[in-house]
Amino acid sequence: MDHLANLYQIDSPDQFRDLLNQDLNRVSLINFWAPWAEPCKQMNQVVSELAKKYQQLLVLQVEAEDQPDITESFDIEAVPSFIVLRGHALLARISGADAPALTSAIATYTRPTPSAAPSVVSPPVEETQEELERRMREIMAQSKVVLFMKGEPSRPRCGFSSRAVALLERENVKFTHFDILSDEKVRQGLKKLNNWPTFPQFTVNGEFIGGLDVVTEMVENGEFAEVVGAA
Amino acid sequence: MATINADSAGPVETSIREKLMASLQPSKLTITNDSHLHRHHAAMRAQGGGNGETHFSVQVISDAFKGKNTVQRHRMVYAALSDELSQGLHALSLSTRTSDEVQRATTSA
Repeated sequence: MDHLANLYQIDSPDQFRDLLNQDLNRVSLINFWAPWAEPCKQMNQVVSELAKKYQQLLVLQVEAEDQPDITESFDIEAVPSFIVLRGHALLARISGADAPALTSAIATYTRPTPSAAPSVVSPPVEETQEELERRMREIMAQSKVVLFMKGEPSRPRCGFSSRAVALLERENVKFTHFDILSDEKVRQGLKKLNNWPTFPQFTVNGEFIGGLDVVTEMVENGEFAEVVGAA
Repeated sequence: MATINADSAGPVETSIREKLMASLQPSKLTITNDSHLHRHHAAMRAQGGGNGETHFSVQVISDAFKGKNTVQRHRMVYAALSDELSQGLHALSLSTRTSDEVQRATTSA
């Protein structure tokens, strides 16, 4: 890899912490990779391109097996995996060699290096509240039944999300999911929009119907079948 | 400071109890601390394992729930605990019933 000023190979937790602490407003991309995993080769190229394009992005390459403490602290289970932070705040998590998702996440949270330094410091929000709300509503309507969960149906990242998936499968309900761990804006936005502080969240026909306990009860009393059955 | 023993209620649990008693006047309120089941989660690890008061199961029997469907009942509980939820409290497993419903459940064959 070319020598890029904003790209670092991490060789210790201390170095990792110090780099992040230098600027708590800076957006960083952490690339968890391994030399023996073929998809990492391609994604490392993608990461390198992103580092070139967004010079204000701090890019930290972590060889997962060499840095078990860092890897575990982000709950990384497979490589490649990517974490986007602002300072220490989690913005997004991407599992797997998903170049479009990674590129889109980086584009959302950073801007290409401006030719002139901005004179007014404003938060780099690419998306207005309205745009975010519209996007969330679109996701809620992406299929008849949408499950907003942590992780994905084949790999849920929390017991409640896992039970939510099991419930829908048991009831033979077709659904799509959205991983709220992959988008912090949607995660916080949905809590406000649906006036519900936790996940998983179920939506039917674009409308929020409840969390796991609520839907479990609805299944028991037949309400769920009605709500989903209605065309 | 007193040592934490497994049986005593911590500050979050105490707060949950007080707030739910005040807003829902339940005839019965059972709070179970499930936090130890979730210690390994990344979100909990980021908080240093959580403070041991992150996940609770709460069973409320209250007539304040009469005429309200499940979502509305859960929202009442969440509203009463919004401070806690914006801090260390991470998740709640809720059972919300009226005294009539409990009666019906226990008397049916």
